[in-house]
Amino acid sequence: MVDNEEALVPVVEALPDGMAKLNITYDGQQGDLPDAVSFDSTDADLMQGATEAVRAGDVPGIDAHPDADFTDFIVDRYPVCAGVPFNRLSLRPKTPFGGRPGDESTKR
Amino acid sequence: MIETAMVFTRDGHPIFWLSPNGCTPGSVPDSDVMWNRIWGDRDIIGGVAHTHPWDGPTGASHTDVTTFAAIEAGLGKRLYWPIVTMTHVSYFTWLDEVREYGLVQHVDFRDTNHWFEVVKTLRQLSQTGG
Repeated sequence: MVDNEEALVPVVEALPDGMAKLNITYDGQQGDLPDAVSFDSTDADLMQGATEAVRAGDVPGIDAHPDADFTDFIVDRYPVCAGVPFNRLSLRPKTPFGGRPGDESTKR
Repeated sequence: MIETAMVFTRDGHPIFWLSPNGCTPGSVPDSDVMWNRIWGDRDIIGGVAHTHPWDGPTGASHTDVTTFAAIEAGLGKRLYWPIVTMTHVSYFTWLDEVREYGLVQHVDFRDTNHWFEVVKTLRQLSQTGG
C-alpha cells in the first residue's frame, strides 16, 4: 500500500535551456560536476573545468586527484531525449586503436 | 581485411566484440558503446585485444598507446593489451621498471589454434600476475 503516490515520482532537477550535466569518469570513479555547464561548451573548456574540479576534489563521487590529467579523454554529448529530460555531457577515455606496418611507437 | 577489437575478462573470456561499423584496415574508431561495456565490466575486465591485419609480430601504435593510457586512467587499473596479427599475438602492458608500455611476449599461432593460444596465454599471465 502506497500512502503517498507523489513519493514515487522521480525528482528530476530542472536545468535552464542550453545547460547540461557533465559526468566525469576518472580513476575508477564517476561523478557529476555540481554546477551545470553550457551544452555548447568546447571540449577544451569542459576538460579544463573537469581537471580543476577533480584536482580540487570538487566532484562528488570522485576523490581529489591533485595530478588529474584528462589527456586523451573525449566528450560525448547527449541531448534531451524521452528517457532523460536534460542535456548530458560525458567526459570519458577515448577508445580508438589503429596503426600501419612500420609506424609502431613501441618495440616489436 | 579490417581491424576490430574485443574486451576480455581476467580469465581470457571474450565478453564484447566491437561492431565492425567504421573499422578500416588501419583503424578501430572510438566507441562509446565499447567504453560503456568496459566501464560496466570494470571489476572483471582483463584487457582489450585488437587486430593489426598484417603478418608477423607487431608493436603498438601511438594511437594504441594513448588509448591504453586513457582507459587505464579512467578505470584506475592496469590491463593487458594484446594485438593480434595474421600470425602472432603480441601482449603489451605497462612496465613499471621502464615506466612505459612494452611488450610482454609474442605468441606465434600459425601452427596452433589461434584463440586457444590467446586464452591460454592470458590465463598464464593472470595467474602469474604478469
